[in-house]
Amino acid sequence: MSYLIASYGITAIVLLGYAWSLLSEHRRLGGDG
Amino acid sequence: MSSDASQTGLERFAARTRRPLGWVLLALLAVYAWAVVRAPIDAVQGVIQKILYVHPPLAYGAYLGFVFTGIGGAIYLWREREDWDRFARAAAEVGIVFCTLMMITGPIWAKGTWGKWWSWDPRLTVTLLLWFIYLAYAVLRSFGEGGARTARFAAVYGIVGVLLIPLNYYVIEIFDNRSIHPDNIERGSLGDGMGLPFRMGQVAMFTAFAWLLLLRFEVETLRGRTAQAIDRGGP
Repeated sequence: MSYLIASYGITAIVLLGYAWSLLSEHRRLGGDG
Repeated sequence: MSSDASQTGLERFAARTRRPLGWVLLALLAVYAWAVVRAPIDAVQGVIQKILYVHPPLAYGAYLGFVFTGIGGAIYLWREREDWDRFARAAAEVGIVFCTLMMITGPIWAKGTWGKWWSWDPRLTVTLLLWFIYLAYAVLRSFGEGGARTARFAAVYGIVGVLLIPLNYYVIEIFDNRSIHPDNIERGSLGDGMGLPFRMGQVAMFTAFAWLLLLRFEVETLRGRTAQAIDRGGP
C-alpha cells in the first residue's frame, strides 16, 4: 500500500507544484492581465 | 494571457484553449480518482498493481512531449517562426517532467513486485537514455547562447531524439520478450474492470499534459516579450 501511495502522491505533488510555479510566473509576467 | 492583434495563431490558440481545458481537466481528475479507487484488486500483485493506472499514462505523456518537441522544431526549421521554437522548448520541459515521474513510479512499482528498484533491462535502459537526451536538450536551451543558431541546433536535436521513441516502445519485442519489464498493453490484455481506470488515466494525463504545455508555452511567450521590453528600455 505504501508503494501505491508513494507513486500517486509523488506524481500529484510534482504535477501540482509544477503547475503552481508556472501559474505564479504567468501572473508575475502579466499573463491574463 | 490576453488576446491581441500581435499574437500568432498558435499564441491565440493557447490563450483561448487553456482555461476551458483546465476545467475539463479538473472534472477528468475527479472521475480518474474515482475509477482508480473502484478498480478491482489484482489477484497476483495485490493493490500495488494499481500503479498501472499512473505509470504508463506518464510514459505516454513523456512520448507526446518529445514528439511535440520534434514537430515544433521541424515547423520552426521549415517556416522560421519563432513561436514554434518556443512551443518545442515548452514541450520538451513538460515531457521531461512526465518522463521524470515515469522514472520515479517505475522503480517504486519494481521494488514492490520484483524486489529491486532497478534492472539494466532493455526497456529501462533505453528509457534512461531517452531521459538523458531530453535533459541535455533542456541544458542546451538553458545555457546555450540563445538566438536563431541555438534554436536551429535544438530543432535538429529534437527531431533526431524522436527516433528513440519507437525504439523505447518496441524494445521489448526487439529483444524477443527477454525483458523483465512487462509487455506493452494491448486491447483485451487487462483484467475485468481494469479497462476503465486505465483509459481514464490516459485521458486525464493527456489532458494534464496539454494544459501544462499550453501554460508553459504562454510563460515562454511572456518571458520573450519581457526580455524584448527590457532590451528596448521599456518597463
